[in-house]
Amino acid sequence: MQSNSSSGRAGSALKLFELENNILPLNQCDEELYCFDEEARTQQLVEAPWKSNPHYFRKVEISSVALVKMVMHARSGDNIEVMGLMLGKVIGDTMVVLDAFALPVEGSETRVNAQDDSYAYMVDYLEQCQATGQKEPVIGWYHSHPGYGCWLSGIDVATQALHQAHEDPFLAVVIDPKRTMSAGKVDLGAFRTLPEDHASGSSGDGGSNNAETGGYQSVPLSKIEDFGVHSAKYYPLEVSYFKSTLDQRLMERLWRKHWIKTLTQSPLITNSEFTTQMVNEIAEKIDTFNRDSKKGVAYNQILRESDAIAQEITQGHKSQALKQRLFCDT
Amino acid sequence: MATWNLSTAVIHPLVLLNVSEHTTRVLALTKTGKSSVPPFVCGALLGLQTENRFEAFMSFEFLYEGASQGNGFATINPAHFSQRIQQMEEVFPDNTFIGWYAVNTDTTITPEIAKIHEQLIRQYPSALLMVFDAALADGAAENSATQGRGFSLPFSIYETRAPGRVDSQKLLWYVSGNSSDTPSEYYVEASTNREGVVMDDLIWASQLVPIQVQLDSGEAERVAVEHVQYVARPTNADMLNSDSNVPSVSLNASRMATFLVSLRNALDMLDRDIALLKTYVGDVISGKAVFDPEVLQLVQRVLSNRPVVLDDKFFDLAASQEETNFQLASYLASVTSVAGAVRDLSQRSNTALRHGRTKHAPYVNPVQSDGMFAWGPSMGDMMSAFGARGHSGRGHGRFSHI
Repeated sequence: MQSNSSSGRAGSALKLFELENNILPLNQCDEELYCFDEEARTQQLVEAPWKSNPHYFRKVEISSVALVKMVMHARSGDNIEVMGLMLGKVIGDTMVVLDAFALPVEGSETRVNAQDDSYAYMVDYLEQCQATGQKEPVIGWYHSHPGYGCWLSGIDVATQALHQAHEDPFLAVVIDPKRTMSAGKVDLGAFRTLPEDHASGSSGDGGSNNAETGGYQSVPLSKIEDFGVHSAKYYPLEVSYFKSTLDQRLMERLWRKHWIKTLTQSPLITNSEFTTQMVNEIAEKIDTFNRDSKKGVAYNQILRESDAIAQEITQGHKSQALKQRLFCDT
Repeated sequence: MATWNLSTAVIHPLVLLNVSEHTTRVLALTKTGKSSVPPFVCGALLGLQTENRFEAFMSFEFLYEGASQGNGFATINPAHFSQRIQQMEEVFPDNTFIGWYAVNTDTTITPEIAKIHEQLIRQYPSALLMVFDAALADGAAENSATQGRGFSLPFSIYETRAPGRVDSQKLLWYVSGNSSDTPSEYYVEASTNREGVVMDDLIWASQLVPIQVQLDSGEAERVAVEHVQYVARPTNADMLNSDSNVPSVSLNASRMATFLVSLRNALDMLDRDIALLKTYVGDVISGKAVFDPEVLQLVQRVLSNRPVVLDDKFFDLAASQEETNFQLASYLASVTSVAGAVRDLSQRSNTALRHGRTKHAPYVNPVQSDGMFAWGPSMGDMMSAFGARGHSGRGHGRFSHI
């Protein structure tokens, strides 16, 4: 146990000093990332290189805390779409998301749009972030697409285009909580819209390199039309994730308590409903394909979907088989 | 622990990540001289309280006001605090204020922390206090000297006991800051109303007692946290360098590989824990370790539970049905992919033939004729049938109890 020096107050001041100087694992990059630089931001806004090149932003870096917050919020909505805002900064052609917060808005189907009273909420919330030293501006919005993949619907494209016109740099993030749960892997996409007059031919270079989903999106039959119509109006950004040095150490420590969950939870049971839905969806698509192969259902897409779902079931089964071998064999 | 108490605090990883982010940010700001406020990191814990079980799901930051004003001790801004609570309750209506956190370099309470706690318990008499140890021992550098700390969670949680009359000497450690040692018991003044004081040396105060702590996570949270664990890279120089084109390997690893690695890691931990218990029991038998009846009883209980299901025909049935489901699904997926490949082949050869010796080659149009997906409807039926069966999730639940 550490003992305080003569005066308690001086003692704790000393402790905080230590905290500040050498005990904490804080590297140069953490400092650069977590410290908001007003001048740099003003400079960026003046230069605004993203205005001349619609493909300027290529990468997105999401912090651990922002990721966990967004995924949990998306999941808490279940079948309802939820949305929130992200705070962050721009470094070169990378948009860095440092934090996220939920908005009191619930959408339905492919419509998510912030209403007026949520603007008031947003303004209040941001003011308070400023007060506590979290000075990063809003860098984008996120919303969930429960069960139908990460892409932008017509309304999403309109919302995003509006924001990009007025408060660029702005980013759209879409999370699919259902697929995240079913695959045991975060399903997330980040997008920016292209200006109206931008040649739609560009969807070729950007349209298929979403790092997270391996370049394809399985879109349900009922939404395929919406997907097809608007898919040329935006492009995906390469998403990666980072954690601070402190997060890193924390995670190492937590893993010692956390691993049990990996063994106890069974994806086969929690996702049975989603799996069924996916299988039905594939069957329906095959039917449609047989009737009319020109209706926008590509057979290689059906193949990838069936592969994906088979792989998920295989994973679930593998973990159950492993548990059986471990605990039930005599 | 000498004190007997029944309360438990359950902490979700999001709270810890939030605290970590807050700490990192405050330190970064302080280091670069952009913050005027001293680096004191504190905030509220939000969650649920059911009887004496506290569960913290999320947190937010306090607006901390420096120690320069008033009595020389720091305070938190009450207006900011109540507004934030209102906001959080609007978005997450199930959560209420259950306590607060403060960051220190170990898990002990400092006079500053006690002072703020005193301020808070006037409004929330049962507020918890979490002291987060930001000087986390490096997992890799861990050795026998730090092992005790390395295995424990990097925080302690204190519960506020119902106030009673105690010797005012016990409050000296933080009121005057004269105490030369960290006290063995923490007391904070429960009320400024001193009318109830019978004698001068008795004061109305609450004790802060460390309580049992658990870590829990919802399933979405687990997936996200595992993602942070394996996929997220630690901050490094190439991240800020926009030219770098270093591909991150983990992102490209197949899903199956990621999944198997996480299973393997979990088994590794299980193995380590069993080995630890085995060593301990061995040492107790040979007299090298202290006999702890509580630990041994737990070991005994686990052992007696071990063969959870043996020769249970329902369990076997459920397992074999699951196996069948899985095999059927893989089979269907392979059939579909082979059908696709055949279709691809036929299309290509047709194209080749059309451009080649067109006149003599037989030509099959895969779309107009019954083509390669001719059996499609029946496969669709099979799949729906499978789906309907998979839906009813019979005795699967048993697996999760293992």
